[in-house]
Amino acid sequence: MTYVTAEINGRVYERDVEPRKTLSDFLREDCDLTGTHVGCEHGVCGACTVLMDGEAVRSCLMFAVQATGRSITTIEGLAPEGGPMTPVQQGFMERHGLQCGFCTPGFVISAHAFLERNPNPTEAEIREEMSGNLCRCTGYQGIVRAIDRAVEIRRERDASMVATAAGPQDQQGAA
Amino acid sequence: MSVQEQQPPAAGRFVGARVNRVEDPRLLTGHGVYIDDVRLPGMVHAAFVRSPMAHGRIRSIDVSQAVLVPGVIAVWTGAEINGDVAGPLWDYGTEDTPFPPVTPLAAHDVRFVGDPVAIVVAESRAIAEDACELVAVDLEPVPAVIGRENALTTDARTHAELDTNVGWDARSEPDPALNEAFAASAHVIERTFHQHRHLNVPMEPRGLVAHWEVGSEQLTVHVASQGPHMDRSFFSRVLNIPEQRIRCTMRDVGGGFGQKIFRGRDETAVVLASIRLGRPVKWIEDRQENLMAANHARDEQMTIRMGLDENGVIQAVYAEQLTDVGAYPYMPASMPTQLSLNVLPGPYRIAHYGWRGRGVFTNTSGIGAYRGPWMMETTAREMMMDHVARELGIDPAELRRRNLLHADDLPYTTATGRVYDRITPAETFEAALDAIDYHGFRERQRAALKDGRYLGIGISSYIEPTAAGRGTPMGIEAATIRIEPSGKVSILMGTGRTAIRWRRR
Repeated sequence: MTYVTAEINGRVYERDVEPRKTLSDFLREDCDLTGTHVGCEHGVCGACTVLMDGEAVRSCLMFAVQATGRSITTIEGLAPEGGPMTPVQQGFMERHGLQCGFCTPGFVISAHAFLERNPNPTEAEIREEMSGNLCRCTGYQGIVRAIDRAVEIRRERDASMVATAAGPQDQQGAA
Repeated sequence: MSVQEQQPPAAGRFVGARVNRVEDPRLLTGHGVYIDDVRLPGMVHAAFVRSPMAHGRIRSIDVSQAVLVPGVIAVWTGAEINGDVAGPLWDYGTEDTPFPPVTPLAAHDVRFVGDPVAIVVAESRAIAEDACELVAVDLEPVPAVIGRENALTTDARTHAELDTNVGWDARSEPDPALNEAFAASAHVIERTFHQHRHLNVPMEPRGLVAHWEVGSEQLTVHVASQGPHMDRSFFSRVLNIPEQRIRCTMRDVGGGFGQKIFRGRDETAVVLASIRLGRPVKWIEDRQENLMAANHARDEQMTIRMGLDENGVIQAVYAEQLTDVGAYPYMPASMPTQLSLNVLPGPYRIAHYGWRGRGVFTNTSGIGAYRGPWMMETTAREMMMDHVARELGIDPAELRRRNLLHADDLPYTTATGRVYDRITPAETFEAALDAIDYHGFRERQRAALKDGRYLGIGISSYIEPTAAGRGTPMGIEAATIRIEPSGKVSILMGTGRTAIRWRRR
């Protein structure tokens, strides 16, 4: 057994695990975070994608011990508990980016990391970036549209944040 | 009252409207519950030792090293647990359709790569897999039956109990009018179409958690399924336990595409393990197992002979289909073939039709459903229409136009006895051609060809039956209307939690 301590979704987890245990099994079995799905166990399908220090990684291709000292975000921690969904999650809901939902956490995490790096992608860039995730419910068209919608929502959000920041000054002026 | 005064039906709120799905928020935030998310107190984990050989006689199975692995709870072979079931798992055999005995695990011989030989139950899946590697199975190779046409001619047998590899061979009634129609046809064209084997590959592999409660003698099976009512009937029959003491339940399912309709031999072995141990046993198939041992699909060929008059109007059709059903098909050896031959006439006016269908056993993973298992009929028929159009020098859309059923043909009874009414094959076809600007496309195609660019277009028209209602093996579903203590009325349907959530809103 090896001691692992990692910050996951803002909370510190300390566990003793077998050195051979994958990060995906660790998240699901030892941390009760079953939103991370395991579809192939060899890095092909992308369903197990999580954020490690903000970067999208395949949790089935990493060992739990490699998470020590790192900060991990899983699908459960992407949006604040009880708070609004992220633009990517919202986009997936509005544009039918999911059917059975099994591959979805991986797609959402991958898209989230992608838009952080590239907030204004072309459709070709979306397709290229999402080519590392597999969906079997014939959902790719919907997924591309969902991410395109997420880009819009992020823009609307940023615009409204600017407007909110400018708001009090206007009110002062009016007063 | 005039038509204008009528209120739009309630459904008008949803038809054509963009409606958000009520299950999306939980699925998008990681709160779905798929089969591997089900965990019960005291739950242990199963893994299978599987055959690496397509056909082999089991000389011996040595589990002595496997049982010594710390954390291993039990290792059972077919000889030990096959007797726990009340009879064959799938009893599809009849006088005309031989079917092999179907047991949870292979006992005397293995009949496809992936055939389960032993089940290992341990404290974790990892330990169970470790122990599987220590189970020594001594196999003596036996000639394997591989390939559809080879299965008809080889001396080798997929199943030692059967004196044939042919599980089904049937023909339509002899019809002199069919032969006359062919003889009178200006053109008779024949083609053979092959469709390769398909694998369903749902993103979530198969899996279940079986829980036999010793005290109450109740069996609960949490299962990645496409029909838990059917599962309950299945387990009730094979375990000889009354239905009311079995509960089969499914929550979110990560895709099935037909693969999760029928319960398998390995899944049955997991239930038997739970009954023997009196504790919950989980089995989650890994991707390798899913590709090898979960049902495959299709793998068939169809020869179509079509007779037409000088105007390209179909006079007669004869079709022969040969399907490789694998070693242990999840459905009768006749089923996919019989269905596709039955619906082959599709949306066309075909007065004279005859057929022959065969299903052959081979030493491969058994076939099951896959997104309309009878799809061969549409593929082969529509490819045939294109071949015929090319041969007769008629535009493929025009050839179809001359043969599609029109509103004034209805009601129409096909040559196989299916009755059509209130359908619009010709009108739908023309609408589709307009939508894609078929005429304009042909012009663009000709222009592109002058520049050395090849543009293509495919046309397909079809009519398929939809799901059956209660009373057939594949149409078992129940609905419940319940008055709650609060006085509210709940209607519980096959859509499960989604429907309940919708009602609350």
